[in-house]
Amino acid sequence: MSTNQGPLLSHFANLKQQYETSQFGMWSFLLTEVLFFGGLFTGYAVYRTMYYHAFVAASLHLDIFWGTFNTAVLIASSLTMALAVHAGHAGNNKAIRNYLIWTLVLGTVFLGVKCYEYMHKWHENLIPGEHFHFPELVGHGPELFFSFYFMMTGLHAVHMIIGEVALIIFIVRAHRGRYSVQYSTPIEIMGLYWHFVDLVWIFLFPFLYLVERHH
Amino acid sequence: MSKDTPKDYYVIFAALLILTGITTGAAFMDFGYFNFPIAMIIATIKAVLVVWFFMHLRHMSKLSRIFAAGGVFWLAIMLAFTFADYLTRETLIPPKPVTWIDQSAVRQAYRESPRFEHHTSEAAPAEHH
Amino acid sequence: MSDAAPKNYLNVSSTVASWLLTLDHKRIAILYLISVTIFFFIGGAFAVAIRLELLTPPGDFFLSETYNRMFTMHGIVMVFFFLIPSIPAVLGNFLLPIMIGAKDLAFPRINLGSWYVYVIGGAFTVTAIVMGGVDTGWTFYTPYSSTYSNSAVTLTALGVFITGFSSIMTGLNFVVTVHKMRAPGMTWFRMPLFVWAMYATSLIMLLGTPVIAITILLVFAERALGFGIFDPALGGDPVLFQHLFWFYSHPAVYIMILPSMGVISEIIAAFSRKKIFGYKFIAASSMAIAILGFLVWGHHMFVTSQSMYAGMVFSFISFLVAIPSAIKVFNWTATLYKGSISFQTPMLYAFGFIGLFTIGGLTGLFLSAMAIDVHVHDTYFVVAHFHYIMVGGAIMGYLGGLHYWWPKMTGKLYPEGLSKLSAGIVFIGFNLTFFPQFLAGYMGMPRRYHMYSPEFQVLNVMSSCGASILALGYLLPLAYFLWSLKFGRDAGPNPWGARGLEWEISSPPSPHNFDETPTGIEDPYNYGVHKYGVPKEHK
Repeated sequence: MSTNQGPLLSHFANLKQQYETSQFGMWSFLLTEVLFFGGLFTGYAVYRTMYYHAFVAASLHLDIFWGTFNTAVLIASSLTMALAVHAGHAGNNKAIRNYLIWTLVLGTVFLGVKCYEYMHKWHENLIPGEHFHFPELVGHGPELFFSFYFMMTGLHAVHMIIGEVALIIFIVRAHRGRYSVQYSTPIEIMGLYWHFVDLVWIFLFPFLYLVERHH
Repeated sequence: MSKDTPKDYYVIFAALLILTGITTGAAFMDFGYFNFPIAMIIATIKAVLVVWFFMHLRHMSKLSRIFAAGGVFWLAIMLAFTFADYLTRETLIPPKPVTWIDQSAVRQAYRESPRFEHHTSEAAPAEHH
Repeated sequence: MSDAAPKNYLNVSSTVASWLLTLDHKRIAILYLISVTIFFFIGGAFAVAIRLELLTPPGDFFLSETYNRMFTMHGIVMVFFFLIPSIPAVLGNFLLPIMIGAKDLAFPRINLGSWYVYVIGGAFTVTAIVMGGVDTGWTFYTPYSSTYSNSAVTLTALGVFITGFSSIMTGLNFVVTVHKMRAPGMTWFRMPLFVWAMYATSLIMLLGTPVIAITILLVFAERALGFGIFDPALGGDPVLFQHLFWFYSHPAVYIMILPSMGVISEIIAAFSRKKIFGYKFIAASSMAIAILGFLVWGHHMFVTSQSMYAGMVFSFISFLVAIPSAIKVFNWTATLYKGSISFQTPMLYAFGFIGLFTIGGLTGLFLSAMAIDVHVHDTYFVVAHFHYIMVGGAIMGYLGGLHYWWPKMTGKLYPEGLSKLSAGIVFIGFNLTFFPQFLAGYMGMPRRYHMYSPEFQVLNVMSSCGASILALGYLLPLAYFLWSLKFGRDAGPNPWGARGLEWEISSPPSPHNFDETPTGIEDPYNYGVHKYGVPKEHK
């Protein structure tokens, strides 16, 4: 696919090698991220097996409307990110900038909703720790559920914030016309990272929000 | 990637939204034991769409595909072997009832036994695991 | 006609900024060499404290709590700040691009970043040491580490978490470099076995390190935020921590040994002046160890509530993972057969490695058998086993590699007589330190205790004496390596008469390694070809 993606750094032999190296580097990094989140998924899976009914009861306290809304928002931000990458291949800096701004906006909406959800949990005494109070069930299951809820969505949110900082940098650069048909690899790499963050949420959503709601 | 058009992305986006609606709706229905597998299948389909089309894995080298699949495979190993422990604890054979042994009586008997007389050390024998 | 002083990577510029902001993989390797050595001696200081305490049966040198901190910090510093980075970050960084004919690693800035991340993580850990250290054991078992310990767990956990990213960055760099930056003609099966070893190690780094990162983050969350994840009082399962911890920490021990094995392959071939026997088998066994190593972690948990059936699976696969290691040992031995063997210092370390690694590996098989492990778990038998592998194996490989490539890295020769003596001291000191521990452990002396039953004293005194000899053996190279920088004779490009791309360039190498991309790349270890002549005698 690659059209010339310069400028050529001194330790590379040619532009094709440089381009393929960047791509492969990001995929390798995403491999590590799969295992990073994977540890949390493993822990969650074990406790869900041990405390299934408690997890069902706890999950009902998550607002399925906002969860679904957030999923849609994040998928939309993936769409705008893909369109930004596409604009990158065409060398259209204005379109890159605009699509990245949309991605940033949608990502911020996502984070805003999460903030709202977290505040709601605080008011309901569902933050694990000394203020946790879950009167419906005896036992530790609900607190464990919320420990994982906050760790998993929190870590996801941290990744999103890092992504948003990167987006801002790329928006500024696109605004200054930095990219071209010959040079859009950073946008592609950013795209890979952003889509991965979306992927994690695609699994977090059913795991956390959709445990069992058919009562 | 030059072959992808914005229209392709919009189509995938629509598919992802529909699947999101399906998975949310499915949570309100009772499929018994299949609740979780269905949710996972839908999530996996969405993931494959994102990875294959948005992340352009279909245009990437075989190496990148192997690494993408490898990460998932390694996570599967972690899950499988961890669950191999949790799911086989005391479910296949129930534990035998414990017979409590009087440790001090055993030690006393040992000290009085003829074998012990060959010990030269005056200290009590070391605790073995 | 050459210039008066041809520019090499060391003298091309000498400002502090040119070192601290370098993108040259060779300079970064030297930066790592300095930091790794500092941490080695910090970890060694804790070892001295341990062996001093264990001279006498009662716990009369330290309080129990203090002793706990001694062995914990010894473990943490040695594992995370010495053993895991040592060969990859020092020798791997220096040699990998050269061995495949590249000018640098794929991501030089990530390389430099990995060193800074390592230093920052190290700073956290040193701060934790100054604030009293940690007493949980390097294994951080919960709920002691997450809830009950009163030591600097949070700070140390953060330090280890940060340093883990250094490992990931290095591993990522190496994997991408090996895939994408090989010179034309450098096919996979023409790469030196050291590169294969680094590649397999890097895969483990990529796949395993993130898991311990998240596990430590969970311990941190439990401690700092009160999230009850591993504390039984809050519904958590401590065994889950152990699963997640050992999922990384077992492959981590392969991170520590595989690079050493790669070094040994290079040294054996060079000092037998013979093509390595079974090249493809050794390469494949590196990959097999890396992969199988991820499937055995439960053998650290036989005496927990882990299911017996899972234990059987883990035990069986642990037996299997010994096979590729044995294949390597057999192939090295076969390489020696009818070779033209010379007993230079690197070769002495390689011989030491083969013998001591074999003992360590075999005792690992004893531990893999559940029935035996029940008796020797948490005794000095385990301690002796892993020190045979880590010190008798990994560190011997590291020292052998340093002695082998020092002339290349610095352009200087060290005094051969002294280095041979030093290797002998290390070997004797090591065996005197750790062999008695097998006996003590087998007879029941528990580990991580500072008081013990009097019948073990003789063995412990032997062990402590051995430790002082071993310490001398480690201090001598520090001295003569530093000495050689100023007073050593010039080495020339190929003092050993060895084969390999690194021996075709100057010592020290120029900043860009090669003036032109190497061509005409042949099979590795082609010692039958008289292209390089006879090794220069430098007695």
